[in-house]
Amino acid sequence: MIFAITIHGHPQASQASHSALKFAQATLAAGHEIHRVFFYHDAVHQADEIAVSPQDEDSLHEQWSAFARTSGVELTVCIAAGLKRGVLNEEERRRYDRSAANAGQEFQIVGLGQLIEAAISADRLITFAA
Amino acid sequence: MATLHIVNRPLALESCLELAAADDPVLLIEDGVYAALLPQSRELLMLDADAQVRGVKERLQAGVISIGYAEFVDLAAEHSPLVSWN
Amino acid sequence: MNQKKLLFLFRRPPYAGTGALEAIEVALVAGVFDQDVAVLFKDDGVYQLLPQQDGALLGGRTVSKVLSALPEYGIEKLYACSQSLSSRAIDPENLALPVELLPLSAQRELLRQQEVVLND
Repeated sequence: MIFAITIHGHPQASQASHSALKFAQATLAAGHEIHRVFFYHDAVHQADEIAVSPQDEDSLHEQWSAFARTSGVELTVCIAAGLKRGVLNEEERRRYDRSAANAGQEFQIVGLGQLIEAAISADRLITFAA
Repeated sequence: MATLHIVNRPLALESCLELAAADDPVLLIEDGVYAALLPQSRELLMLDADAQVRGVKERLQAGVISIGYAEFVDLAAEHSPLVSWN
Repeated sequence: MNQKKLLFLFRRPPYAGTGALEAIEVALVAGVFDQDVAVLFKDDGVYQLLPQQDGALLGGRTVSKVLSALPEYGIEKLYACSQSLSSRAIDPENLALPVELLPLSAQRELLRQQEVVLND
């Protein structure tokens, strides 16, 4: 079975991102595929690589990044939702002449079409809501 | 194919149950597990890890079944569509 | 391209942050991708249907105006939960866009027909 996973909840205001990662890991462990993970609404903040986690807490950003590296699953972030919340990659930083980029390299900045494409191509779309 | 409902906060359960058919599984995750403390009119599934985090496991009402992430994935694979309630 | 039955379940009020508008954007994109889209306004989502909204006063867009673009994108299956409207004292005869009112039983039937459900 091919899954598409979309996440809405803010990583610091919601458990959504944590639940989604656990679900993603269990999905692959069960032998299924993940077409794409799509971060939308406040979940785009998960792509922010400059956030500093306290020493006694796990960094969900690092866990997602490691997951992407070892599994090859595509992590995508909505470009419009990211821009308005201040989550930018280098390309967008230059385009809008901002002082910094903060999107981790494992997170691709893409258009909303990628969410619909995932919804259409996958067998299942699951949403981890805010 | 039956629908899987995923409820992540107790206040969303009422709306979910308005649309859940009798054979649709309803899974409580995250803060949704607090709904398992209250008597319910139907069987509910609950994500074990989230109940453990919140200290809910010891005070469950009857009719609540605990599952792990592996079973969550199985449920998602066996049901369509998947509807989230928050 | 594959065409699927997509239901957008809108339960959020229109002006509590960007959530409602961002969800409507997804629906519009689904229309562009020529999908079989239905929208159900339920719970606080029915507040999106109130007439005479003015988002300009918040420095942004007016949600009901954005919603009125849905038919232009081929999205005409617009539904509202009749119970959600009545419990919020909203007059179903005076809404910002044409929607079909559904009782719970019809909403259950609508849900049963869908392949994908997206929420706001």
